[in-house]
Order: sequence, then C-alpha cells, then structure tokens
Amino acid sequence: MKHKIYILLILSILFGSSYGQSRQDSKTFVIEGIVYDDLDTPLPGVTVYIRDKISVGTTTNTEGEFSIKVNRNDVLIFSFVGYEQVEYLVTAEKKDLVIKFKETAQALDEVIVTGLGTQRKISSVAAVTSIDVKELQTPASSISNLLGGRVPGVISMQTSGEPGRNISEFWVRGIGTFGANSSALVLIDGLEGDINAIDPSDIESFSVLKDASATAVYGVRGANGVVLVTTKRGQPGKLSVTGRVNYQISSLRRTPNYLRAYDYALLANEARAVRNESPIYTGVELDIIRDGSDPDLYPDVNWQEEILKNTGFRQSYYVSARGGAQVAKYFISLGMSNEAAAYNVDKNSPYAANVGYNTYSFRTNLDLELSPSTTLYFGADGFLSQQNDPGVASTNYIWYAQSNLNPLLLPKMYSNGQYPASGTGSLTSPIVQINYMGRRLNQAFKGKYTLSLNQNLSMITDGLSLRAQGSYDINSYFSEARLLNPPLFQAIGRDKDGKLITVQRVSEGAISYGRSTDQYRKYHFESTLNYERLFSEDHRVSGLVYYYLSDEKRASESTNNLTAIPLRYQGVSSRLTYGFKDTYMVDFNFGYTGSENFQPGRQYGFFPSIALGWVPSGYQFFQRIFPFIDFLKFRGSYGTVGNDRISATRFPYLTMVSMGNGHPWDTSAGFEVIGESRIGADNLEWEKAKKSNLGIEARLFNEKLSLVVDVFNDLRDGIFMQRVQVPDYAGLITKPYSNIGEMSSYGSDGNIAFTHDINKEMNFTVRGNYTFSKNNVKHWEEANPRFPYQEVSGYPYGTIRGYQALGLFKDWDDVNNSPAQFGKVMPGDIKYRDVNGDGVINSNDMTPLSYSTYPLLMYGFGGEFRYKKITLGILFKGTGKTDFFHVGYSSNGIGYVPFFRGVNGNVLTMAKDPSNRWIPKEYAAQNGIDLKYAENPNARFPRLTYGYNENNSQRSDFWKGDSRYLRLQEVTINYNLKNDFLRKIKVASIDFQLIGNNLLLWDKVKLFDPEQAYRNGEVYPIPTTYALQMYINL
Amino acid sequence: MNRVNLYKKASISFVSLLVFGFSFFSCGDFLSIDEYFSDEIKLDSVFANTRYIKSYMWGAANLFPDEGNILQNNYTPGPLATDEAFTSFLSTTHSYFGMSFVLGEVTSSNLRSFNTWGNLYMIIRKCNTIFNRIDEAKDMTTKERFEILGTTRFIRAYAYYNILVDFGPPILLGDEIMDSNEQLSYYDRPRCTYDEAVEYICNELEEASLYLPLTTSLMQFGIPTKGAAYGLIARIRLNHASPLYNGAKLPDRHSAIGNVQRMGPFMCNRSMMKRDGPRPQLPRKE
Repeated sequence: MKHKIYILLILSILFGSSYGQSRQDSKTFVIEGIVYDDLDTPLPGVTVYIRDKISVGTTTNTEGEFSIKVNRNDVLIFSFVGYEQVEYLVTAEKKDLVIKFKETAQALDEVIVTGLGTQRKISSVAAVTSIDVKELQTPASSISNLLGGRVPGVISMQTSGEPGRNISEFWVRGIGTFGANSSALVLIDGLEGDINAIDPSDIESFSVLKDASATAVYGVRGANGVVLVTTKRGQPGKLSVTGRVNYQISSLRRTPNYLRAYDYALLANEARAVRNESPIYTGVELDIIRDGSDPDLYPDVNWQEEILKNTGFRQSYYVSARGGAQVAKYFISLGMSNEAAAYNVDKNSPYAANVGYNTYSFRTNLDLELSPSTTLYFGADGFLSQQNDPGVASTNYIWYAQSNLNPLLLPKMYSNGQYPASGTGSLTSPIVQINYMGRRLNQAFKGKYTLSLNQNLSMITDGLSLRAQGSYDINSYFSEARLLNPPLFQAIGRDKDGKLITVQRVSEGAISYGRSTDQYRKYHFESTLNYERLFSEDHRVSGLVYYYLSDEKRASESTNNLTAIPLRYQGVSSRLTYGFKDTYMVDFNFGYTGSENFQPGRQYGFFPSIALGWVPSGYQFFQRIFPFIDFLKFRGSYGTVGNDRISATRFPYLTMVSMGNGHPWDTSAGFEVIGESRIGADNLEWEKAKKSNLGIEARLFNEKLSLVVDVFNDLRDGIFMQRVQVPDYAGLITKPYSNIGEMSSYGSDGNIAFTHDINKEMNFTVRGNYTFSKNNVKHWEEANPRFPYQEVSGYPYGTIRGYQALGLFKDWDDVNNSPAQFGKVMPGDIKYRDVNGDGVINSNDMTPLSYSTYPLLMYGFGGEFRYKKITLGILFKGTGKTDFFHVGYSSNGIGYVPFFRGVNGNVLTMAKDPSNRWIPKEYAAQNGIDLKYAENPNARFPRLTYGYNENNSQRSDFWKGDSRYLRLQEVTINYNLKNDFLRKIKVASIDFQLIGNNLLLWDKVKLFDPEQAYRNGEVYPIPTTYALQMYINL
Repeated sequence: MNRVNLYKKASISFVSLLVFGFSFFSCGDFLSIDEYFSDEIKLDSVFANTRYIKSYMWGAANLFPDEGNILQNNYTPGPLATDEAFTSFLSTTHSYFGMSFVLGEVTSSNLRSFNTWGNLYMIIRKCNTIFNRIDEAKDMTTKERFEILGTTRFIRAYAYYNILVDFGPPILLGDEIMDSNEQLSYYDRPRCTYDEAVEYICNELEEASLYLPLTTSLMQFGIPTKGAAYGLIARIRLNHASPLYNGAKLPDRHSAIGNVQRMGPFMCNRSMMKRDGPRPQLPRKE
C-alpha cells in the first residue's frame, strides 16, 4: 500500500511540472542575430533553443546567423561544446542580437564510460577500451560480429554465416576458466542485456572493461570482462530526426566443390577395389551414368545448386528522434530488418511464403527533470525476432543434406511425378524437406522496462549524488511447427517395358502440430551513492557505493521444487579514487557479493582490488626533455574477482533425498525405499581469480600517434570440479563438488593509431590492434592416468589429444614390422607412432597435439582517409596459428575424406586428382592412371576405403590443418552531402555509404571458410556482402 | 516558492522510495531458500522417523544386483565362465558376460556388468549411516530397533561377502562413514587379508542372526532370515577351507568315478568348527 502512495506522488509531481509550462503568452515575434566565439569569428552549428519548450530550436548557419520565433518572456539558450552556455531573456523583438561565447574554464575533459558512470580518461587507471561509435555503424547482423579485430582485448569466432544464426561468440581476453561461464557481462545502460538485440545506431558509447580494477564494482558478474553500452539520450534543442536505410546483398564464397556422378562412381569403385571388395557400379552402369541416360535410377544431381541460393538479400530500416527541453528530454527509435532465406524455395509451394528472418525493435529513453536536482529516467526497449523456416528441422539440416547426399543417391523427382526416398529413409531429399513438409515459426521477444531516479545531494555536500534504479526484463519464446509427410517412393528397377517400378518407403502422414514455449523474467534493483569533488585544483577525490539485487527465473528450467527457485544475487561494492594533480592516481575497489550456491554463512565473498597510475608527462622537466611525448601514463592493477557458477547444478551444498518403491531381493511385496540422490559438499567456497594488469598509454608527436599496451595475468583458483579422485569405496552416491581446480591465463592486448592532417581538406588515420591470450590448466581433478602426457593438468585448457602420424605405410614389409594398429591395415593407410613403446597402438598413445580450436591471437589493422566530404575506411582482421582437425574432432570427416561414411557424403573435386590420394601400383596400372602418381607418400588422403575405416579415422596430426586467416573485413566509402537544396526541404545532411564485408581472404585452408574449417563444409559459410546504406539527418 | 515545494516533495518521496525499496527485500534473507527447501525431505528428517529409517534400509538392500541374473547381465562370472561352455549368440551383444570373461572381452576399461565394487560400497555406507544415526529416531520401540539392526547387519555382511567372492579381500571400513571431501592421503586404506575378511563377515552374520526372523511370509519371500545367515556362514567357511586358501601347491584331482587324489599337503588348519562350544542349532520347523 505504501509504495502505491509514493508512486502516485511521483506521477502527480510529473503532471504538475508539465502543467506549469503550458501557459503561453500570445505575443510571438522573431529574434535574429549572430553568434561569435571568443576570437570574434562567427560560429556555425551552435544550438539555439527555448528553455521550456520542447523541441523548439534551431542552429546557426555557416555565417553564425540564426533566426527563431519566440514569445515574450521566453529564455533563449545558446550552447556549443567547449563554451559556456549563454542565456538571453526575450523582452522585445530584435533583429541584430549579438551573442559572444566564452571558452569554458576547465579544459575539455574527455570522458570514457566505465563501471557505473564516467571517468576522465586522463585519470583512469583501469584497462578500458572505448570504441568510437562511428566504427560500429556498418551493417552487420549483430554487434558481436564487429568486435573481433576492432576492439583490442576481444577474441571472437563466427561459426556460421546463416541468416538468423550468424552471430559470433566472443571472449574478453580469451578463455580464463574451465568453469561453466566464460563469457563477458554485457550491460546496456547499466542493465544486463543481449548484445545481439541492440541496433548500432542506438549506441552512444561502447567500452570494454578488461582488468580487475575496472570490473571490480560489478563483483562476480564481471569476472570475465564487461562490455558497456550506453544508448542515446534526448537533448534539449530542436528535434533531430535520423533515418537509416540499408540494403545488403550477400554472396557465398568458399562453398565446397563436389564431384558429379560419373567421377564419383569411378572413385567409389576404386575405393572398393583397393580393399579387395567388389565394385559398386558395373561397367554397364558406369556407361549409363556417363551418358545420363537413366536419370531416375542413376541421377546426377548437384544438390548445392538446387537448394542453395548463392546471393542473399537483407534490408533494414531505422528511424530515431531526439529532442526535448530542459525539463523533459526524449529519445525514441524504431527499427526493422528482413533477411531472406538462404536456400531456394519452390515458388509454387504453399509453405514457401515468407521464409526468412525478420526483426523489429524499439527503444525509448525519457529523462524528466522533476526539480533542478532530481531527474527521473524511464527506459523501455523491445526486440522481436521471427524466423520462418520451411518444414523439417533447422536449416542446419538442409545444409548438412547438401554435403551428405551424393549425386547418385536421389533424383529431384522421379519421371512419374513421385518424390524420392533413399532406402532407409535416413537421408531425405532436401527439396522435399524445404518445400513439401510444412513450416515452422520461431519467435522470440525480449523486453526491458526500467525506471531510475537521480538525486543530486549537493545540499548535503558538494559532489554527492544518489541514484536508485529498478528494472523488469521479460523474454518470451514461442516456436511451433506444422509438419506433414508427403508419400515418398524408391525406384527399384524397371519392368520389361522399361517403366519405372517404385516402392513406397514413407507413407503419407497427416499434418501434425507441435509447439514449445518458454519464458524468462528478471527483477533487478540497484542503487548508487556517488561522490566526486576536486579540492583546491590538485586533489581529485571520488567515491562510489553500489548495491544491487536481482531475481530471475526461466520457465523451462523449473522442473522440480528446487530448480524452480528463482536465481538470486545480492551484492555491495565500492570504489574510492584519489588523484593528485592528475599525475599520481590510486583506485581502491571492493566487491562483496552473495550467491545461492553456498551454504548460509558462506554465501558472501569479499573481493578487493587496487590500481595505481603515474603520469610522468605531467612533470615540467619531462615536458622539457621529451617534448614529443604529449602524454605518458603507466598503470597497474591487482585484484581478486569471484565466480560461483557451476554447470547446471544449483545448490551444490544440499544433500537431496528421493523416495520410491522397491523390491529388495525380488520380493513380491514392495517396500518403500528412500535414498540420497545427491551428496552435498559442505565446504564449498567462491572460486577466486587473481588478476593483474600492467599498462602503458602514450600520445606522441602532437597527439598524432597514440598507443596503449596492456599485459595481463589471471590466476584462477578453487574452480569447482567434481571430486573424481575420491575412490569408489567411500560409497558416495554422487561425487561431490569441491574447489580444487586451478588455471592460469596470460596475454597481452594493445592498439596503436596514427593520425595526420595533410592539409585542411585531407587527413588520414592508420590504426592497428591485437589481442593475445594463452592459458594453462594447473590442476584438474582426474583419476591418475598411466602416462604423464595423458594428464589434463599442465596443459592448456581444451588441448586436443590424438595420435602422432608418421605418414602412410609404404608396403607390406612396413605394415608387418610395425606395432598392431586398428583392424586390418594395408599399405597406404596411416601409420601411427607407438609413443609408449608397448608394441600396440591404442588410446595410451594419444598425446597432446594442439591447442583448442579457438584462436590465441587476434589482430586487426586498417585506417581511414578523408578528403573533403568523402571518407574511405578499410579494416583487416586476422588470427594467428589456430589448429583444427578434419577428422576426429567435432566433425567426422564426412565431406572431406572420400566415402568416409560409405554412401553418405559427397566427395570433393580435388579427390579426383590422383596426386591427392594413395593409389596402389597394381590398380594404377590396370586403370590407366599414370604410375608416377601411384603410391605417393605425401598424398592428402590415404588408400581409399568405401565406408568407415577405423584406422584412418582416428584423430591424429595427419588430419591437422591450420585455420589462420587474414580477411579484408571491411571497406567503407562514405559521402556526406549537405547543401542548400537539402536545407530547403528541411534535411540537414545525408550520408551515403557503400560497404563491402569479407571481400578478400588469405588463408591456408582454401577449401572451406577457415573459421568453420573443422566442420568440413557442413555449415553455412560466411558470405561476402555488399551494402548500400543511407543516413538521413533532419 | 512553487519550486521549493516541488523540491521538498520530490526529495521526500525519493528518500521514502529508497527506504521502501531496501525494506522490501530484507537483505539478509534474500538468498535463503529455506521456504522452498523446507518442503523437501532432508536427510535429517529421514533419521528422525522409524518408518523412514526402515525405508532407508530397504533402499540399501534394493541396490543389490539381481541374483537371478546368472547367464545374462550377471554380476559374477557364473556358470558360463568355463572352457566347457558355449553360447549360440555373441557374448558381447547378448550380454552373456560370463562367456566374455573366458573369451578375454572383459578389460580394465570395460568391465561389462561386473563392476559392482562401487555399488556394494554404497550399500555399506548406507548401512554404516544407519548404525550411526539409528538413535535419532525417538519413536522407535526396542523390538523395531533390534529388527533394523539385525537386517542392516546382514545387508552389510552380504555386501562384503559379494566383494569377497568377486574381488577378493575387501577394504574393511567397520562402522566408519568416510568423509566426502578430503585430501587423497585420507583415502589411502589397505585391503585386509582373506582370513580377516572371513572372520569379520561371519561374526557379523552371527550377530545379525540373533535378531533376524525365523521365517518370513510368502509375500516377502527373499527377505533374510536366521537360516539365511547361518547358511551363508556355512558357505563362507567351506570356501575358506578350500585348498586355494590353505597353502596347497596343487589342486585335488577328481576322477569321473569319484576317486579323489590328493596332490600334496595342505594344512587343514581352518574348519567350520573353529570355535569351542556348542554349534549353533537351527530350530526345527514346527
């Protein structure tokens, strides 16, 4: 009841203040004049607005002149960045008003957005990367795709190019823990949000917080780095409207090339013959295939061409408005995008309409000034995505089908109009799946609503302010499928008249309907007490106390009494900073967070951190000795951060008991039985990470060259792991969790930029950045392995293990004198090394072969060149050596190794080249293959096998490849058009942009896109896109 | 003056909202889940109640593998583990694991269905838990207490017996419940000798037999009785008397017509009747 009264009170205050402004004087006249800066030159672009009228305002033109309609007693405000605001009370009409600006007393302080507010860039001692928002304005399906190669400190990987799924994974400073959660915290306007749901044109600032000192205020949530996004707010003055239109064409590159039917059949026969098995296709059949004379029984279908659309099309529209008066400022944006499907649909099919991925979003930020010291902020945003798919499974399956169906397996349609099925029905024609099996809809809505109250408490003491904010998130998911089965037939031969005989394999099924729903909600409340003051020009002090609590729940996880308990966090954190003359700085942070995963009494953990900074360029003598160094700062930080997330297990300290019915010793009568279903661990503690960071920031040569380099080290202790070393005879139902894992990660990141003005009309900037991170597992709880190289401890996390390959067996002597391998081995098969010398090749011979498949080093470089109104921008992005395996890791060789799964799987055209495979001499002689290609010890493929070959399918460095790449990631041409004609139709300017993405690629894989190389072409590749984008600024 | 009033109202309402906000979630209990967890059965409430202790005991017995599985999915090699047996179907695909045993298909990385070691120790741990906590139930009558103790002792001895038969001498834990989260050195225990195992198990069975029922009803056929305990003691001692454990070099040879040829000395220093005193008498059936 109480809170209802106060809410009513606030609302009535709002209405009261707005009523106060609706009184209007009836006398209107025009004021005109010129604005000059402190050097008496006319100043263009100055904002002129009436203080209490929303969105009434104008700007000065190139001569500094302005003209505005006002009423008597209005207050005109003139404002421009870098100068003190000027107010003018209107008493009478005036046509020659002269306004002179004075520069603001304090030098312009560049600010960066950091935890819970902004800090002056000059005095920040934390490792924070800020991105100029202009760099994020290129069209991309999601911002996470723009981070790698552009933001130092971020490593990213894009695993699919498919519309609706083409979102990159990214990590801040690599992966530093093997606990459940290694991804960064993304905060949009201070509240957790989804980085993929935000439109880049909404963004005001973008920063990444990397080290312990920067993330400490976020406590446990910030353990893996924090990405801070703030969105645009309203500003007083005339209404400014921006519209954006964007059309993008994408074209697939690096689609694998497969053999057609005749070549496929020849190779299939070879695969059988070299293993002394009978050929699959007889001579007569080979002739039919070559001539294509029986397309029903011996088809020759290029599935990629049939189902894949090589060019895709995406369009998006966006409009935003911002404006306001002193008392109320607003920002509203609306956006929508539509991306067409990636595959060909039959236009006549009723299910083919509307396939594609559509998104709709809105955002509104309202700032209301309740009093000169109190502001109320209301924000709401929503993001709706709809994916319409045809019938069966996901488009992943459709892509999988084109890499798995060989050209001879199924025709598109039989000549009698029936649709095909292969014998067992396990591989269905993707044409049938796309066009005749129904449709699916996946819909997701993410909404967030927040209210925040800011109170300036300068009446108690100067520089004190208080903020309280609450928010409500609601995400809802809905998917439904309407599926039906058309009748499918298999042709088994022809009758004596030559007519096709078909057998029905799949009977017609009536339409079925299925749906699934999920819902997620979150309550969040936080409040901040902030103090900032500059004492006697030299001592800058600031302090911050932050308290938050949150409660979230997901419907699909609520399956029993305990998993349905909402997930709750509560924490207090604080930051104190002191700077002396902007030369010596010290920051002290601490966080005190509580989590439900620990017993009452141990739920809270204390995590302090400290950071120091020194700016030697502030000294007089330094400026004398090194005049070319404008700014130099050394900083270092050391702190602890906690982590409490274990995979899927909540409340691991609880011992759970379950009740049921049992028949011990097989009695007929049952007995009630009770037993523990989980043993709780009662001495669990927070996982602690000790992070240290050293950094240098410098600006040289008159601010032309700027560079930042950071070196970091992260030691994570007490990682939750299951105690698998506890022996079985302790009799535990489940092994408990304990804090025994230990891992360290270290690396470096940095960026450098050089700007130069050639003359007034031309300038250019060149920049580069890199991120490098490596990790090492110091202790991993496992049962003691037999050989030291089998331990997980002591190696990087995710190390991939396999056999060491010595090449291919040369001849039968070689085979007979080597240790026993897998199954029956022939010359031309892969030979492995017996690492432990026991005479047998088995799993004890597996040694670490490479790091995990995400890159350790990521870098980017590029620049901009500006001439008058045209800007040209280029960005390259690349990674260092990254290993992947064609066979034996995540993928299984289908689509790369010929006939890896027998009839499943297409064969790459490069298998046709005899130098790429090991061919026995006898077969080469019998089949007219040049003997110089036979028995090639350096062949890419071993002796062919039709079907699964256990020996050649083991994971070994025979199949290891390097997926490092360098992409010409982006080329942008921007032209800014501004002229009097546009001003006449009230358009301030138009920006035209031509953007190309992923235009050139240098790599070693060549067959597939390197970021997806380990999937051997089974995944939708990352396309090249060309886009035209237009911003209209009103 | 309008502004001042506004200002006052705003600050009052703001501060009150804050206070209210803080009081709404009382900070200390925000993370506690007692209100949900109190409805769950907790391990403590199991031992506060005689009925639940009995259920817990039957839960332990319910973990024993099915003795009826002698040919397929058997927990002990059984009748097929001999050179004279053969099966028509593949031992691995049709679970004739006794056959797998002699064919060499049972390896340290794949124990087929023989890996009962951990399971039997879970049973032993549960029995030890009952012994340690049986006094917590305040509603237990003396008769019930002895019944529970008797059956639990039998269960524990039977578990040790199964370990002895399949794996050799077990690690004897006594009444100890091992801690779940200790350093490795805590778990470094030796295995006992065959003699110690036999003595321990037979002593336990004798104590259990004092309180086991004489007979059970038809519906509960299979529940251990006095006779079962004595029978098991007899079997264990008989196996113990075997030359395998008595230092003989060669096994006896038995010809087809029943001649026994002893092949070397063996010390018959163990027997079923090791103790002095009267042999335990099975009461005759009425």
